[in-house]
This record gives sequence, structure tokens and C-alpha cells, in this order.
Amino acid sequence: MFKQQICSELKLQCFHPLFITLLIFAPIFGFFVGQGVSASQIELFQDHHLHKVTGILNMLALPWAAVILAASVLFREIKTGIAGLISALPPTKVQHQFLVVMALIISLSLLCVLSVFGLFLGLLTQALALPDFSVLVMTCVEMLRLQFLLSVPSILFFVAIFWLLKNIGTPVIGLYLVTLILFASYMALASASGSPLMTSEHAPSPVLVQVMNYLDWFGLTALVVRDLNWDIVYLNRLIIIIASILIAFAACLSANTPQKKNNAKLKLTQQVSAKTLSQVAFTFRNVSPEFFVQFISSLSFHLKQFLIHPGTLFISTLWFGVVVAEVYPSLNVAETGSVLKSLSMDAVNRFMWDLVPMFGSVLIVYLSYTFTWRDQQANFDLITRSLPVSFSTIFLSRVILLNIVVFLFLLIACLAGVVAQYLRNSPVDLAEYVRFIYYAGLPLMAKSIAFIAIQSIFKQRILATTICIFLVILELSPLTSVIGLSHPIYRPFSTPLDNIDSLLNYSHVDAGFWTFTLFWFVVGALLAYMALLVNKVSSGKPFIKLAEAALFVLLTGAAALQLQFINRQMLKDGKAISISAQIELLANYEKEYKKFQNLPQPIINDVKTAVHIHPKESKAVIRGSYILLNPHEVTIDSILLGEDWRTPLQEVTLSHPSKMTYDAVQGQRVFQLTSSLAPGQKVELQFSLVLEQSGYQKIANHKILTPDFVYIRGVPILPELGYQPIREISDNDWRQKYGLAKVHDKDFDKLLRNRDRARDTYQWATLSTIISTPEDYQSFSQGELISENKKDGRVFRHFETRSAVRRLQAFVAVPAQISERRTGDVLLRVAHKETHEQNVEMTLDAMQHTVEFLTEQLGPFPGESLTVIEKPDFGPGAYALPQLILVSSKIGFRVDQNNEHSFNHVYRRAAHETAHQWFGHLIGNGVSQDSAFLVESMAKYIELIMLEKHYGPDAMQSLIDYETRRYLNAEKHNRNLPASLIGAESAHDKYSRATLAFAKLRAEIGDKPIMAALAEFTARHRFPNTPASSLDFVEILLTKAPAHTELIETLLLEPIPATTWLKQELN
Amino acid sequence: MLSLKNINKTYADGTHALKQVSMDLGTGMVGLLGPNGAGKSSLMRTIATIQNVDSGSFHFGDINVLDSPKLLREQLGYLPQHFGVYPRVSCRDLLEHLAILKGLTNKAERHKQIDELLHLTNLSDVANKSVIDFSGGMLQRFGVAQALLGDPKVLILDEPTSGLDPAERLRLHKILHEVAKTRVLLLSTHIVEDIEHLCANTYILISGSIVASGPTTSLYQLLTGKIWQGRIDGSELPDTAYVLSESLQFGVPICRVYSEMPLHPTMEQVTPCLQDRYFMHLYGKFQGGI
Repeated sequence: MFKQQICSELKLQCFHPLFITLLIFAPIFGFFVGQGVSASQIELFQDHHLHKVTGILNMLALPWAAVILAASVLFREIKTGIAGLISALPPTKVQHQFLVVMALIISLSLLCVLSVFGLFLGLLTQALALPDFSVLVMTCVEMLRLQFLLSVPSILFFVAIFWLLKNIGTPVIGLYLVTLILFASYMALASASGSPLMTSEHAPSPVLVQVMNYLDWFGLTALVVRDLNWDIVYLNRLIIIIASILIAFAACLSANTPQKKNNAKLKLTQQVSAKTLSQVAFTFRNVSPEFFVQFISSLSFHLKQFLIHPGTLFISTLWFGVVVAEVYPSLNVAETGSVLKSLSMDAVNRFMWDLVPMFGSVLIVYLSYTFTWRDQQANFDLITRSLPVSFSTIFLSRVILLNIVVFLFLLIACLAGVVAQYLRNSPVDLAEYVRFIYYAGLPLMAKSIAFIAIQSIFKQRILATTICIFLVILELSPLTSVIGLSHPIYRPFSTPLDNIDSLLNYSHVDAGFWTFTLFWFVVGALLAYMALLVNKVSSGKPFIKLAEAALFVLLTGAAALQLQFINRQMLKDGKAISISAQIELLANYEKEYKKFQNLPQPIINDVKTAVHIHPKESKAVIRGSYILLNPHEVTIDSILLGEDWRTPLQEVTLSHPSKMTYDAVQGQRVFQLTSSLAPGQKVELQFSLVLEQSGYQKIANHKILTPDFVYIRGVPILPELGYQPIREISDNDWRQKYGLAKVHDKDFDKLLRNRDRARDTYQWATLSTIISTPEDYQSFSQGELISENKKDGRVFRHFETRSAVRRLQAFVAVPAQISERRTGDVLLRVAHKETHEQNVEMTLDAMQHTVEFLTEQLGPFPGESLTVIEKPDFGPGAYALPQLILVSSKIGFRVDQNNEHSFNHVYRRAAHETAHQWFGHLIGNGVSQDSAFLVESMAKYIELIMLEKHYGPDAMQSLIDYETRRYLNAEKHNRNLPASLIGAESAHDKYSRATLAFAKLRAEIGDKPIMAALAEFTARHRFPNTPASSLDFVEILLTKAPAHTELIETLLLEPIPATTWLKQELN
Repeated sequence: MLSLKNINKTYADGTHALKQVSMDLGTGMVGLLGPNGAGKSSLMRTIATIQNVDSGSFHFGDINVLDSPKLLREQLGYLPQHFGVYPRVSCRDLLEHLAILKGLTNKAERHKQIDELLHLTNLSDVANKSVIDFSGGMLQRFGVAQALLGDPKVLILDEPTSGLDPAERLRLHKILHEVAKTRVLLLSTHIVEDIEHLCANTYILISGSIVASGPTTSLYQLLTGKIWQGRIDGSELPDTAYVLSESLQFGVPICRVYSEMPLHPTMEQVTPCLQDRYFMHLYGKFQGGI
């Protein structure tokens, strides 16, 4: 009997057009995920990649497939009005619902199976060569097994929730709303718990990770870690199944709960003693419908209805609580161990970029549906549609109503932010909240118009709502990245706005914000106009007048023009090149120009640059000249000059008779010299280029052209000579695809030992730079300031290096205050915002301590000044260039680093970056095959010394503890093959593991042999001597501490993770 | 006053709901009689301008309603067959809202008319109660009240008596009768008695087509002398008998036939009624004349 019933129910569900559509869509979606989530050829069919893609598939698709089918199946009887008939049949309500739910679970499982086949095909399309048939079969079976393990508990979970929601009287849209909230919450939780499926820079809370291990309804937290423990995965799936059963049990209990609405209808009855017209003084009244009165009435009536709805108060309170909970705990935190003197900007940053778009979008989807279909839902539409109210009046009132609600939503967020600030004693700046309302509100407003229009255009509610939800998913999920759509337009209603920066505020993206917002408003207007036309046609007027068609064309044209304008503006950031196009360019570069690696090329001996910076226009004009020297003992017949693909040079001239050919695609110029360049002969190369920034997309880390901060790094913008090995593709899969020889030698030690030492070369030169800026700007570059002139409202500063320095030029212009201190021959400076001076002394201390210590130990660095510059918060927290250090405002200048904490980030970071003047810019460059050991790991070593020396052993130990936590967490998800510390490429090795290794070395052998080795290495290999690698340093170190050879080799040379020796210590 | 010519309407699923429907409605009450699914509600929705047509013309006086539906809506009162209301809205507030949308912009006049309508439909006592809590009869009276708001020259009432008890139904008849004295009132129903009680003119709509129209009495007068009724079971009659209806009265079968002469000794000649004509169309026996 049960078998027959379930078969009958399954037949009913499976022949539904919606299911058939999903049946087609499921494998297609699976295919795109399998094809879109890239992996190396080796990893492609490995378990961890299969886990990842199956997890992404479930995470992105399962909730939506479940809610679409559940909304159709669970509400089928209510929608078709046969609920009464069904309830009269022999099975009880619970039995009948159980049957429907079981069939729904089977239907969803079928979709999951089909999607896995699509996923598998997607993986196959990525494979350059297919493995054996048996391996393919086993992979497919494994994927099915995994899908069963992951999807069945998740299906049970979602279906149980939908079942319960339905039984407690939630409307269909409520199911979608809950799904969207679960979807968004999962994304946030996955990101917060450090899931590798999401991108997050924050170290996750261990408690959250543990909780997610067991309660992650997709089971991915426990699955995608490196040291996979299947017991935890199985336990997680079991917990989800048990939770689902409990929810289903609650659904069964609530199945027979009488509906409030049905009972209420019985409340009011009347004994009538009605009247007739003759008994009542009734008169008809003249009417004169007026647009404005109807509009106001409609608006106020529905607004009142919205405000008195019990759910409004609940949701408002919830939203208020969510914002306070988000802002309050983290408001004064800059990073672990750093207290931030927070401002309203920091409070707004906590909720403006994820909570507001996410909750705002959910709200708009839900309310655009509710406001549009409210009359139909209440079965009141036949009456309202017969009223003399035009569709445009109704449409406009819905749009305004939704925008009023959005405004209230933003207002509550502001209120919550202010309360959280008040509780944290943070000064409230109401103007910041006003700015938040219009910057966050305008895109939401455009979205409101568009979504109301979409709901009005389509007569099928489910179709309209699905489109709206799809647009929200495109905007807020990583789907566009997964499928390789990089243009910002693929994220509907998004703008280039990014975190409010204490230096830039919104200024760096302001132009882009307004242009994008205008574009989305035009799109909204176009959709609104389409809604009006569709309504006109559907009300029996099939002919659209010429003027109406013209307006439609005009709006479409306006949208197209605006899009074209956006594309044109984005070109200011340089040519847009997709990742795949970049790889192809690299491959072709290697094929066409590798021959120059074996041809003698000149070196750049002397650089003169004039940089005219126009911050307000986000523009810089650069004119430069290189003195090229033939350092070889043979003549040079041709010179290869490369430019940045994105920013081609404008003029290039060589002061030597030659014939130039230009490869515009590769940005390469080949000068065939008419007469060869003799050994020791010099020639001059002149060039110019113009740099601009649109403010329409994310700003590149080393090219920032904004009204409040300008920073241009010479690499890769300035031209380079000769073949650049750094442009070679390192991934063997890609190399194979483009017919390039594989890079076989992955053994770092071997790579260093076997390298052609003749190619080790320092790229150093003397630099002379003139920077012109508006008068109120400070400017900085390598070298010492030798003159300063003012002309036509601009200031011209001339910097010149006393001797050759590493040729890593940078040009900075910023309206800043400068604090300075002198130590020996070195002038230390900190350029900062006038009000950000609380950590300046501490920064100068760290610079002074480090300069004095390293000068004493290793000799002076090449330069007489060193400047730390406060930079915007995006990009890396801090980085060092020769004589210039950039530290982000929040972690370097706005934190309240008052020595109450166990260790001091401001101090240790400034010491670290100062140390790079030796480690990175004095030694540690010139060997292209070398890793960052001599740069980053050595700077971490100096951090330990400086902290211990100036803050005591406890501070140093705190840093070790901090790095231990960071290392262990990162190592949990690390899938790279174990590497030696000197060959390691991942950040957690270069920084955290290095800290731990040097801490152990210091404890075992002390600083003396290490510093002695460094001193010898520096003296032997600093410019103009030949460069050397980290391996050379270790060899010297071994000579200084022969008794500790095993320890040094274990810590620095053995390809074993630190966990192997760290756990022993921790135990 | 209201003129429809050759109106056709086919739904997306292929149902041809209205076929060449033509009507001329003047002041007074006009009945639209038809079985369930005949297309009455489709026709009513069309006249209420909330549904477009595929072809045909529709005029209200000089107004082309298909081009300017709003002009008719300004003078329209419409009571749909089934309707619901918004939750958490009182009867008075909802009437107030609808009155403003209809164009009753003068606040004093609006309030006065709402009071009068509440009184007329005997809803004054529950005026501040939520409409969603009303019983079926009260909701139907609310529907009538909203249809009468303003100054509707055309009233389209789709099954207005459904859900009303007999007493309420008679009282509504009285109100409608008085309203129809000065305006067009189209009453749709499948209850023949309602038409007979109220409508001087009637249209019979079967399967989307108007099969008969005219003064109500004239529709069945031509059957005089040809309707027979007896206390017998239909099976006792010859197979060729034209049975119009078989019913029960106190458990005794009553058979009513159309015939030139008595078909059974127990049968007596009776006065024809609208139902006879209606049934003749319904069963396909009426082929353009008797």
C-alpha cells in the first residue's frame, strides 16, 4: 500500500514541469561547477578536489533546488484548493504529508545524482589528458558516494525545515526568505570559520571551527581540512540527520494545528435587520479621481499595513540586534592585541559591506514580492483592479513604499551602530551615518525599482521571484568568480564602493560609485518602463505607440551608452586582460622572446625620472631616461625592451642608431642596433607614459592614484630590459597546455645549487627623480631630497641617491604631516595624517632601534633617509621599498598601542619593515630562483630580537605564541607538499614558521653565530659583489655553529612542517 | 448605455471563454444567467475592465472602453464572485481607502457616504472590526457596500447573493432593485429565481455564447401551453419525451416536460417559467425556435 502511494506521489512530482526543468538544469549547473573550479592536473581527480567541488555544488545549488521543489510540492494542495478533499481521505494528515515529503526527498536525491554526473563531465573538460578508464569509473563512484554522504543529510535538513515552516503557516515566500537567510548565513559562517571554499584573510575562531565541524549542515568544514578525519564527518552527518528528524517531528506535531485564519472567520456573525434605500438616507456622491490623492492614499494605507504587521516589529528588532552584535564586539579591535580608537567609520564598516547588502537584498526580494502580489494573495485584486487607478500610480506607490522601508532599514542600522558606539565610548559622527545612508541606500533603491518592475513584468510569481533571487545570488555570492565573469556589471546593483578608508574616505571610488549607480538606475527605469508597457499590452492594447517605442529605445540606448562610458573609464586602469588571456600572453612571451635570455643585453646604470602627479585628476605623467651600459666583454647587437601590458609606453627613443620593431600585443620592442654596442659603451633610452585611475574598480596595490594618496611603484610600470624570467609560467599544467617544456626541478635545494650563477645579478642603479605635485602635497621617492622649488602652484622636489640602490622605484604624493628623528647619518621620517600621531614616536623608536642594531651588526644600508608613510587600508598591511615603507593607517597609526598588551604590533611591524632595508633591499635580491627566506623570514628574526631587547622576553614570547596559533591554523588547510623553510613559498611558512624556527635557534644557539653568519654573508655578497642565495647563508651559518648542524638543517633545510617538532615542544 | 459587440476571449490554455458575445445594456437591472463554467465571470470581468478581450468592441456611451478603461472604472461598481480582504484592516478603513481610490476626495462627503453605506448594509456595529474576521454574509454585504461607493453608473455584481441566507438575499434584492432604477446593473447568477425576481431583461450565456436575450418574460412566454408537469418518474415516460427537469417535492418525484400534448395521464399543463427556457438551452434542445 505504502509502496503504491509513494510511487503515485513520485509520479505526480516527477512529471511536474518544474521538476523536469530542474532535471535538465541540475547536470548543467554541475558541469559549470566542475569546469569552473580550477585545479592543477595532478589535483584534478584527487580526493580533496573532489570534496571541494562536490561541496561547492551542494552549497550553491542544493538549498535552491530544495526550496523550489518544496514550495511547489508542499503547497500544491493549498494552491490547487484540494486540501479539503485530501484531508477527507483515509490517511491522516501527517501520514499524507510524510508521503509527500518522502517523495520530495527522493526527487531531490535524483537531482543530486544527476548534478554529480554533470560535475564529473565538468572535471573531464578540465583534464588535458584523461586517466585510465578504471580510474575514471572509480572517481565517478567515489563522487556518487560522497554526494550521497553530503547531500542526503542536507536534503533531510532543508526539507524538514520547509515542512515545519509550512505547517506553522509560513507562506511560500517565507520559505524562500528562510533559504536566502540560511544561504547567506552559511557563506558568512564558512568565511568566518576559515573554510578554503571561501576567501578570508582572518584567522578563524577555534570555537567556531569546532562548532562548524559538527553543526555545518553541508558537512564541509570537517571535510575540506587537510588532515581529514572521517569520524568527524560521519558524526557531523549523523548530527544533521538527527536534527532533521527532530525538526520533522516538530513538523508532524504542528501538522494538525488549526489555522488562525479559519478560526477567526467564525468570530463575527450578525443577526441582520437590514435596511433598504428608502429607509436609509443614502445618496451617491460624485467622484473625481486624482493621481496625487490616490498615490498618497495607496502609499499611506500600505505603509500603515506594513508598520502594524507583527513581523515588522520582530524583524526590526532582530535587525537592530544583529547590527549591534556585529559592531559592538569588534568595534575597538584592529587586530589581535591591538585596540582601535574607533570612529563612526569603523562602526559603519562593520555592517555596510556584507550585512546591509545581504539583509537589504533579502528584504527587497521579499517586499517587492509582497507589495506586488499582496492583492492577489489576499484575493482582493479583482476589486482593486476595477478601481479607476492607473497602473503607473500603483507601481509608483509600490516603489516609493519599498524605498521608504529600505530607508527605515538603513535608519535602524544607523541607530544600532550609534548604540554600539555609545556602549564602546566611541565618538559618534552623524555625518558618517548620513553618508552611509546614501552610499548604501542608492544602490538598494535602484534594486528596489528593478525588483518591483520584474515582479510586475512577469505574471508568474515564481518566475519573477526566481529572477530576483538569481540576481541577488549573482551579486552577493562568488558564483560570478567561479564561472569566470569578471566585469563588475555581472554583479547586478553592485558599485565599486569598498571599505571606508580613514585616508581616502570614499574619494577613490566616488566617481565610479555615481556612474555605476546611475547605470543601475537607468536599468531600473528601463525595467520600470517595460513593466508599464507590459501592463498596457496585457490590458488589451497590443499596439505600442511610436513615442513609447522611442522612449524604450532611448532608455535602452542610455543604458548602453552608460555601459560604454563605464568600459571606457575602466580602460584608464589599463587594458582589461582576463586570466586566461594573461596566461596565453605569458606562454607566447616565453616562446617568442626566450632567445634573448642567451643574448647579451645592457644593464640599466642610471635612471632619471620626472613624475608629474595630478592627484585630483587621478593622473600621473612620467618621463624617464635610462643610461644603458654594456657590461659584457662582447658587443650587443639588439636590445629587448618590455613594457607593462596594461599601460603601454607613449614615446620611446634610443640615442643610438637602430631599427625598432614593436610587438603591441606583448608590449615588446626590439632595437636592432645599426652599429653594435661596444663593451663598456653607454646609450640613453628615453620614454614617457601616462597613468590614470578610473575609480571604477578595485585599486591595484601598487598603483594608487587618488586625490588623497598617490603611490606608483616602478615595477611593472616602468620599462624593463631583456628577457624577464619572472614572466615564465610556473604551473606545469599550463605549460603543457601551451606546448612549453615542463619545469622539472621542484627540489628547491637542487634548483639553487644547479642554477647558472652567471645569471645572478643585482638590478641596482643610481636614481634621480623629480616629482611635481600641487603645493599642499608632500612627495617621496628613493634618494635624498636635494632641492625643492615652487612654480605655478606646484612644488618640484628633486631626489637623488648618493650611490646605486636596488632599482625598485616608487613615487608617493600625499598631503601629510612629517615627524622626523635623526640617528647617526640617517634621517628617520614618518609621514602621517595630522590627527594620526599617537603611534608616531613608537614607530620612530622601532625604526631607530632597528637601524642602529643592524648598522652595527651588518653595516649601513644604502641611503641617508628612511621614511614610513601612512597608506590607505586596502592591500597589504605594510611593505617596504628601498628607503620607503608604507604602513596602513588602521594597524599602524590609528591603533591605540599603549604598551598594555603583551606584545606590540606597531613596534614589531615597524621593526620588520625597517629590517627589509637590509633583508630584501641590501641582500636577498639578485638571485631569481631564491625564495623569500632572506627577506621575510629574516625580518621576522629581527622582530624577535627587537621585541626582546626593548620590551622584554615576555613580549617576545607573546609574539611566538601568536605566530604558533597562526601557523597551526594555516597548516590545517595546507595541501602543499612539505618544503624546507628556505624553500617555502606559503605565507604561513615564511612568517609564522620562520618566527618559530628562529625562536628555537636563538634558544639553542643564541644570536651570536646567526648575526656573525649574516655579517659575513652581507660583507661577502652585498652590491657590487655577486649576489648569493639563502642556501649560501645557511652554509655560512653551519660554519658558525658546527655543533648544531642537525638542528639548523632540521629547522631550515629539511622539508618537514614545523608541526613535527613543534608538537613535541607544546607537549 | 453599455454596448458590447462580438466580444471574444480565449485563455492561454485554449479555453474559448467568450464567443461573439454582444450585449446592449441600458438603465435597469439585467440578468446574466448561465450554468457554472458558462463564462459569466469572464464576461463580468471583461465588463469590469479587468480582463482584456481578443476581439470585439465595447462602448460605454461614447466611450470606447477598450481604449479608455479608466473612464468606465470611474463610474463602475464591481462585486466579484469571490474575494478576500487584507488582514488587520477595519471595515471602515478599507471602505475609506477604496473610496479615495474611487475618487471620493471630499473628506466630509466620503465619511458621510461610508456611514450611510455601513448603515445600509447593516455593518455599522462592526465598522471598526477587522474585515477578515467577517462571516460570509457580512463579507458579501461589505462587497456590496464597496461596489456602491461613489457614484457608480454601472454596477457589475457577480453572484451577489451567494453565501447569503434567504433573509439577507431578499433584503439585498430590495437594495439592488432600488439602485437599478437610475443606473445600469448587471447581475450574474445561476439562480433562476434571482433573475425572475429582479431582472426585466435577461441574457442566457451557455458555453461562452449568448444563446438567448430579451425581456425576461418574453423568453418563456412562447412556451405557454407546451409545459407539462406530473408526479411521475421520468423513466415512466417514452424515450422520445423532452424532459426539462426531474425534481422531488416532499420525496415525491416531479417531472416537467416540453410537449405539444400530455405524455402521461397524470400530467397537467402548467405555466412556463424562465427555468424551462434556460433548461431547454442547457440541454441543447432549443434550436433557434420551438
